[in-house]
Amino acid sequence: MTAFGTQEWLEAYEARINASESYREAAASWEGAVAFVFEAEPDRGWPRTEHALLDLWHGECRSARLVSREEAEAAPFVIRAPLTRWQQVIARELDPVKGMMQGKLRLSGDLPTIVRHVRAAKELVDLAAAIPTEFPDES
Amino acid sequence: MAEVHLRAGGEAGLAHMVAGLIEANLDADPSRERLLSGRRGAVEIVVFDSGVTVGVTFVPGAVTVTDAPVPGADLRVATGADDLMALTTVPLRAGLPDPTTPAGRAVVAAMLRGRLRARGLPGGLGALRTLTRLLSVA
Repeated sequence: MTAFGTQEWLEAYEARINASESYREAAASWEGAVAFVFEAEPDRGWPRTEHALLDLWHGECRSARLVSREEAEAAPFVIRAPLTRWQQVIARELDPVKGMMQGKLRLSGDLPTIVRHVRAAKELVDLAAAIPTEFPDES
Repeated sequence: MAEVHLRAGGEAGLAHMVAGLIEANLDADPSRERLLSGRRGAVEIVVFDSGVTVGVTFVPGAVTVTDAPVPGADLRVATGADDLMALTTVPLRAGLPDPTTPAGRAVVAAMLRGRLRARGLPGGLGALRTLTRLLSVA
């Protein structure tokens, strides 16, 4: 098991993305880094907001790392949500597209680009869901 | 310059998405502004598997997106989240899904199977064509 939102977890995620033929196909025309903001939920053992940056380029993940808030917010695409929502997404209890429509996942960036790549976004979620992940209140 | 107004709370994800898509498409392709030049009407979009409703109201030169139903809308589109996404990426012909394409046939199939329902046709056809063209990223 890998602890969610750690550098180790992001490295496992990067490896799974780069090993995925279906993601490579779905994201063949994708260009641009995506920042994930894991918002603090102190009562669930997640005391502060963490920021991750995935450098995604034409179906490849060139890097995945924890970054500063400033670096994350400068990314072309940013998805933010409290820890509980990310956990629901990774457990496949919350579909990412529905989550965005319901405002449970908040998105910024060029919407036409995101809409054109919905399948790639779902592939990313499937790959995250496949990582054996431990959340802070599960340890 | 056509105006896009958003009247919705911060948690209204779909309203933000619809307004953002329309605004981005108008910026990228200003010729779409003519779709709004003489258009009056309203469309209500219900995403039944997400429990979300948005209203899109057209007046000449402007479109307003709200996170609430539109009483008296010309057209009510009810669909699921994935089929709504498909509607924005499907190639259009005369503002409607092009049935000569696989994606267009998939939208037609969704209608035939009841996953995509439009109430208010044919009266709301003009509003539907305006909406699909404004949202299209195909």
